[in-house]
Amino acid sequence: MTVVDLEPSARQLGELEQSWRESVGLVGWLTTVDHKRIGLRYMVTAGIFFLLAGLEALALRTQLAQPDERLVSPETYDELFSMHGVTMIFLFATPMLFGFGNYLVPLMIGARDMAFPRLNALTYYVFLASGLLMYAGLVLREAPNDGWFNYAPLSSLQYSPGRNIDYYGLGLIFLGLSSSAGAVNFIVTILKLRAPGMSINRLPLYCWAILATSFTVVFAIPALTAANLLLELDRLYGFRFYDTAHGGDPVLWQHLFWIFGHPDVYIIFLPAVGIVSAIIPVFARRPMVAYSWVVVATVTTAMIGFGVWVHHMFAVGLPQVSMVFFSAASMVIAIPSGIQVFAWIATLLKGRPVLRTPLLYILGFVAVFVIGGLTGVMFAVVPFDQQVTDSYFVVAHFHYVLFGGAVFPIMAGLHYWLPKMSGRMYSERLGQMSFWLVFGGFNLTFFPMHIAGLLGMPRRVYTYPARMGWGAYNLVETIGSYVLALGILAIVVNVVHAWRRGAPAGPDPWGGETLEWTVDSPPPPYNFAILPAVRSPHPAWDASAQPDVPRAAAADDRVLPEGHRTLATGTLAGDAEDVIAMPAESWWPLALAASLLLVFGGLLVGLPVIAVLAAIAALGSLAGWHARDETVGEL
Amino acid sequence: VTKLAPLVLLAALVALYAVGSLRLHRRASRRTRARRALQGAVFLAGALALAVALSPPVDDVADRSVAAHMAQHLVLLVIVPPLLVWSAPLATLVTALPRSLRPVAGRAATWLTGRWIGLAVVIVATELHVGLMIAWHAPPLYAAAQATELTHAFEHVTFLASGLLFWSCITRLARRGASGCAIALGATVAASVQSGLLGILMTLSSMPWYHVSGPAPFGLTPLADQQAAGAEMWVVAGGVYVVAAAVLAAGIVRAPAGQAPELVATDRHEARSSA
Repeated sequence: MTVVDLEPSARQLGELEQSWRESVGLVGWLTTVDHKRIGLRYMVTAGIFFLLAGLEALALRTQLAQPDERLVSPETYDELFSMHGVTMIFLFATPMLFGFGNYLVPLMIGARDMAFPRLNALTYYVFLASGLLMYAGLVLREAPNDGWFNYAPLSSLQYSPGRNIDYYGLGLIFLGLSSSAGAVNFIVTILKLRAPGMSINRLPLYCWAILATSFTVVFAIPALTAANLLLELDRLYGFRFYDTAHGGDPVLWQHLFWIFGHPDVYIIFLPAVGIVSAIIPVFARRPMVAYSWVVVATVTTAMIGFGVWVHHMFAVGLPQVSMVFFSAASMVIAIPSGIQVFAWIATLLKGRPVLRTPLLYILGFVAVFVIGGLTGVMFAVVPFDQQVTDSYFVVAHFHYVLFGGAVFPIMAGLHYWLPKMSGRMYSERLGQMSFWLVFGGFNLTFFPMHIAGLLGMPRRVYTYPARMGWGAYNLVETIGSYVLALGILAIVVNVVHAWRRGAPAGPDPWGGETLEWTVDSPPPPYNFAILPAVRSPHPAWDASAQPDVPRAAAADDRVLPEGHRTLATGTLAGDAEDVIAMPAESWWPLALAASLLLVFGGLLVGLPVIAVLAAIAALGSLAGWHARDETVGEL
Repeated sequence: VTKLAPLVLLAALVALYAVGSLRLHRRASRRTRARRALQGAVFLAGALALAVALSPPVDDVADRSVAAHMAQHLVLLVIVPPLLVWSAPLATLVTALPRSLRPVAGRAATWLTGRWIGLAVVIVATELHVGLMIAWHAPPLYAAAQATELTHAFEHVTFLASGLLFWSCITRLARRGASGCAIALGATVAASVQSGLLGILMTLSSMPWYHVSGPAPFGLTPLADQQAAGAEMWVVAGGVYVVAAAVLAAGIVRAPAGQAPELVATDRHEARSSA
């Protein structure tokens, strides 16, 4: 069979430029629907929240450095640790991973944008607005102060009379809109917009992870929204859902929260391991071992994640008999996680690993995450769990799982895809230095917490007396946290420097495996001049296998030069089904998000009139959004 | 008498299967013999599980304990049907029949295992399977089933029949490539969510739902007994569905890739396939 390389004609390129161009300046900035710009925004915004939450953590650690410290008041301490948790979980981890997904999924599957570009713009604005809403509380000194899981009845009006908890309740209901809509967008994009030939079993593992995560989000967020809805009905309108005196039950909050909360661990963890599975084959210079096992492990992890929330509540006083079953079920989750870890290790062993910064962060992830997983299995043993619940041992565990399981992969992904996103290379020396600072600082901060926890130090105390003997561990932890902060600073410097004056990276600095490495860095607005066709799970390696092939002009049906168009393909087989028109830039997402912000802001400050008027404006924006759009045009 | 009737029937079925197996064994090649031996073992495991679940001692404990009763139900719902369905015993059973009956029975078996399952059948089968599971555990129906031996037997028949229907849909879809596996995966997830809901409510409820005759075994209070039953339903049934889902997900991924798209007739990505 003759192999021919297709190339677009000057006319086709010109038409593509024309039809995918967005407005320049502020207007373009506010109305864009380009998934790459939106993805970068997600990442920058989430990165800023990460730095804010990191500063909060530094304040906490400084306060705890010595016994009987008086740097911050107990009230401020409560707000700081609550905002640290809320920010890291809700405003950093998920949005950052959504940002990666937004940027990468269409590029990896060979599409020109997300399936619903305007919805995509909306989800970003809603995320931003809910983050600003919650941080307004911190600025006004009335931030959430009941911890990130906000247990009733402490969060009820009786025990938390201020507005603090309302920032949490309303903010998270608001944010839930963004996460759910974003997840739906990912599901449709991955199932319907893959390049022809990319059958479901050629889907990159990263996209599998995003797909499984998105299904998890769609089913988990409603529980969180329900919990907060009931809470706000209690607080704002005198309902009694969590009030025992009137037939309610505070344990209901815990159930609803953890029905969301445990799957949320996987909402954070799965896309992060997707990053790991994307990077390891490239740096091991061979395909991933046991592709299908990793897919099955991803799917079953997402499923099992819904069945084990009770293990967050072993100390609550639930039926004794049932705990045996949940304990067993919780241990089962080690099986799919183990399959993935062994698949990564096997890939590295069978390949010829190239030790660059991204791979260093991945190796750090494997080491740290395995330790976190081990303490996790310990928690599945009910008597042990009851012994260490709400101690620093728990704090140590979930930082190993979440920092290890999410932040290390995110940093790996940041260094790996930075050349693609910016077109420029970071400094390898500074990158490796930042890794050792982060890795050392992390372990110095969090490993001693295991011991302090076993010695009985409870979490969420603003200080402790010297005679408890926890002082030395805490001092080491605080020193570690500053080393860690230095490492993060080194990453920021490296990224900013690379973005402004790094060496040009070229389209494929790593010898990448997936389709994003077949286009320019940064990619053009339409992503692919010629819509790619896929023959294997490693399309970029296929393309580079035969560098010198004759070139031929591409037909228009491979370029779709006119209008804002992309290909739709079959859900499983990935055969081309249809050509679909994509909407262009629009003001409506911003208008809708702004009206929704006013709805929640109005409820928060106790002015329902504003909320009602804003709700009408929101409906108006929806109507405008769905009115016939001339820019989409006919096919 | 009603307690022993199912066991007698089961014994007759196993005997029939044994006769059929012997007849087929004589004609079979070595490779098919190995496969048949495996299927026979799975069939026997299913029959044995059914016999244990319906045996008088187990039945007695089930009368006094919700947890034991739930274990019995789970065997009928998610243990026996997948085993029996997977072992595909119909051909063997037909062979055991007298020559004159074989054509009729053969046609019936062919129809039963035919390609008539569409999306609607799968949805109905799933909802029947889970719906009956939930309905029979509503306190009034639970009491009715316990009232007489006949209603109890009827309950068990509906469990087993709906289980066989559901699991035969799943196994047959699983042989139809990626799309069949995807539909079966959806059905399995739907079943696990709905049956899990019943288990959750039963476990976390603060009052006993059922009237149980006599003291519960294992020294459990009525409430603890019910909570154990709920946890069984949640975790054991859920576990079976998760395993099934894992197998089906593997089926999706391992199905042969789709046809080469027409659009790529002159594409460089053919490098691999033509080399």
